[in-house]
Amino acid sequence: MVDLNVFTTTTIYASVLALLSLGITLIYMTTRVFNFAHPRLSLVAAYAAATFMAIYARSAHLKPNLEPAETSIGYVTVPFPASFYLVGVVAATVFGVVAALVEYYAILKPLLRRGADYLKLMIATLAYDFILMAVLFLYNTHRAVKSALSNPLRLTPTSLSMTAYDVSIVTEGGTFIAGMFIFSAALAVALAAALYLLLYRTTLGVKMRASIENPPLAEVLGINVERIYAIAWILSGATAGLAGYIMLFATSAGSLKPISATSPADEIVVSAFAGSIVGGVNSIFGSIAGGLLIGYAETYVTQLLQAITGYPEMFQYARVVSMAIVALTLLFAPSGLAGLLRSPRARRLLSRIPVPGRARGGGR
Amino acid sequence: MEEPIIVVDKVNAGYEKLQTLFDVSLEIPRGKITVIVGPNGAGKSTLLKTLFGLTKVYSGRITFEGRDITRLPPHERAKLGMAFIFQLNNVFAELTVKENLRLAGHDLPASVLEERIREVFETFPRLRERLDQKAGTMSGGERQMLAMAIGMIRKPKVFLIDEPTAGLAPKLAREVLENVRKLNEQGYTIVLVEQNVKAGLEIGDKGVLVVSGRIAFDGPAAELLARKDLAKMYLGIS
Amino acid sequence: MVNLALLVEQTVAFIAIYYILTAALNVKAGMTGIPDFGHAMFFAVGGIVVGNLAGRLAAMLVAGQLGVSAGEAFRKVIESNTAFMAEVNKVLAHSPGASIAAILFALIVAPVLGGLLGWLASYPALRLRGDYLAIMLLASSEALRIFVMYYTPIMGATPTVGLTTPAVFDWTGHPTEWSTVFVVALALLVFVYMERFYNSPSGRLFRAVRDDEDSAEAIGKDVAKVRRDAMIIGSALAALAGVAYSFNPWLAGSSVAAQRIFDRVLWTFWPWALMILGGMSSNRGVGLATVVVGALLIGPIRIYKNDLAKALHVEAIGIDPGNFANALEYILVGALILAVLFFKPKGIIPEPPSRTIPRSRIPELIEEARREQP
Repeated sequence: MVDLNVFTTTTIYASVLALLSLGITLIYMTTRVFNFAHPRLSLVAAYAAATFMAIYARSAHLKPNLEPAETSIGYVTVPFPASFYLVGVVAATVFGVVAALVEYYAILKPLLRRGADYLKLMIATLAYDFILMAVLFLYNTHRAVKSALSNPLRLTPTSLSMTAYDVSIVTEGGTFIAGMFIFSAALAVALAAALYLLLYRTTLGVKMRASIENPPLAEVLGINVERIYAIAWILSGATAGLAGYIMLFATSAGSLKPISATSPADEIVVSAFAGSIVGGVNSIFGSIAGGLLIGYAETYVTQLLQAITGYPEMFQYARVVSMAIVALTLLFAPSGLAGLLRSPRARRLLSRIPVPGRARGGGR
Repeated sequence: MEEPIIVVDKVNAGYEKLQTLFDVSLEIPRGKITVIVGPNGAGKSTLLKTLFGLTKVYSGRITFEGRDITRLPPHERAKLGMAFIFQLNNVFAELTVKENLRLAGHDLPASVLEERIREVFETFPRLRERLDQKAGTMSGGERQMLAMAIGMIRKPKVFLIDEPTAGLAPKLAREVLENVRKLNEQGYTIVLVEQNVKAGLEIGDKGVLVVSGRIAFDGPAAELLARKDLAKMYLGIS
Repeated sequence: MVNLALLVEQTVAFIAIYYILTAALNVKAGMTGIPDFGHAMFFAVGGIVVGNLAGRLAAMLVAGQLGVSAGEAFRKVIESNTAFMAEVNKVLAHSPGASIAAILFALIVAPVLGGLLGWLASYPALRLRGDYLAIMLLASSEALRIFVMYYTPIMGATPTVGLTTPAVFDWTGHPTEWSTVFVVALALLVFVYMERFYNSPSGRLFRAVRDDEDSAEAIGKDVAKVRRDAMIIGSALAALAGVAYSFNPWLAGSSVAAQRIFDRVLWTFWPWALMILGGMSSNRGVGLATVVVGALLIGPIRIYKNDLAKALHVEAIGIDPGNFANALEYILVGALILAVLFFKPKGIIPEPPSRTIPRSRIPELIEEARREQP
């Protein structure tokens, strides 16, 4: 029997990983580096969101309304008006983008100009990660921040959690559905759809695909590859920001924890990269699928192992599961899920499926 | 005499801190085939890449149709009318011939694009046969053909071609150079870097010899070919 | 008030440990080009050997004096670690024999296990591209960390407290001083070994594989085997660092905790920073970097960081000077790494060129060869 509560929290966690893996893959496909600092961008965004929401709540004299209202779908609690949450989403996205662009323009691009190899670039992202962590530490221990976040939201900056202020639904049957579940699931679907439209139905998408496939050739065709890379970084920062926003409201989903200068970035960094690698580091849709896969696997595989071995602490080994999946992927299918789907055998299988209007044997 | 389409004026260039071109001055005549030859590592490819903006220019000036393009990024030069054909990876290997040509005309109105594709097929009929074939699976010579076709879609004024016959068997190499000549017949100015000196200079109008990053000869291709002393010393022909 | 002698000892111990650990990484990453971002796990092996295996050996050796059998002692070390080890340590303070046995045991077993783990870890990943390999090794280290943290038989039930270290230097009367001497002696040995290794045939081979894999294969060298050997040697050395660290009350306190010995910032990222700063592959560079950075960090920055924070008037922008002092270390490491990457990518002491046979010896060698001709 599938426990709905486990499913909803796991979906939230899996969506966060999908967002992070997507961000990591976007950067790998363009700038050709594994951005170690990526999960920390989410923390920056989370703090930004919390700060702006706190300031907004104070200036608009908002008070949390934790009284559930009876509706047709059950008891719904909406602590704050939509504008409140909107402020958070925007702040998270903007700051995610800013932190990402600073990394690109101040650090990575100059290094690339000096001919840095992948190792130096990776280490540079590590250094940026350290600096961000220190900055976040200084931020969350700052007096002004402490006071801003405590009134009226009563948040602790060093262990930030806005789960209490999330929209929630309790159905007739007693099932608890967190607002973040709906938000993160909808976001994952919408993002995948939007990316598909962008990449395959717009001119910009064509330019992006060309720039990723063969950057010098794209230049020859008059495409400003530099600008495309900047757009990739903006998208990467935005997805990190959205992930941070979700993390803020879902501090107990999967391996997520209350926000601090180190959590949950340090805990989930390996899982995020696992999602990217398992999906196939050169595939945007692969990364989304990979992140979702890792997220669900961490919970459900450990659950399965727990049932088999009877070992109650099995859930602690979630990260071991991710690592095992990565190891298997690298050993047997190094191009990830996307690579598997693109293999000749898969193509033959897929081309047998009748799809109206699709020409046989061609295309991507 | 007609104005040269590209003028290189006392250019010093290289890759980051490594300088490979020293005080290079050169004129590319419009509508002709200019062939750049020289020993390995002399700077032939660097010169070509410098014309397109792929290297770092320390000093000097490059103009295109009178306009200073020294600091202009490559994609802007492409928009002005320069086409660069790389030695390797010069087509989108994962895409079909048709998709490559469509991609080449990504910013053109559909009717114009269709028209240009038809023109391409007139010059290179073999590509029409390979329309749905993945570019990466074509032979070296066919890929060079496609690379030129991609350039043609954009109706540039100049083709900069980097060692198109490298790694090809002699028969294919001749075919490729024949295609270069066909391009020139359509009115395109060609700047060609060629390893195969004799064959290159034979189709060329102007010949340029680059040795150790400097111009050692700049004049009619036939004359360069006839210069036994230079040929023996630098090009290994006797 | 600053106790200068104490400070010097601490600094020296710190530098020694980091030298060994960074030199170990240098063998793998600097000389052979393996991007080992899971370096911490090999260091941790040293800690595990100390807390678990050496602890058990020490307990078994003094079991008689505690009134238990060796077998019981073996079990009790894990089962009731804190209480039992407290007893064991009291006895060890008067048992130089058992203490030295435990030290030697750890010195031998840890590198063996570390090397073994290095061999295992290298197996699936050696054929992978650099960046994949980096992530793979990082992930392995993290997975192993979690495994050890929660699998009780290895490091006990509490991941943050861990196992009490056998106090193998207590019998000397000055445990902290002697354990520091021990560390420094090890570091010097490693330094000498590294200096000779660099120009040895193996050292050259490692570097050849790093520089040009294909050429190395072309002359018949098995590249995968070379990488594996580098992983084994480097990881063994890292385990050695782990042993030296864990036995030192200054550095490690009185227990070995999984949380701490697997810390990727302390034992993976810091060595990377030091290696880059010093100059990848350059042994003297690594040595210099650890001395300079180590001395600065433990000494002046740790003492004066509060004063530095006050001097920068960070309270003016509302930051608590104490917090700033703590964050300073991370900001400095980050800034230092970036500065090196930008301005001195080859490090402070770039890799020295390979020493070749002096020209004057060549006629002599030709003569020898001629004489040996049949």
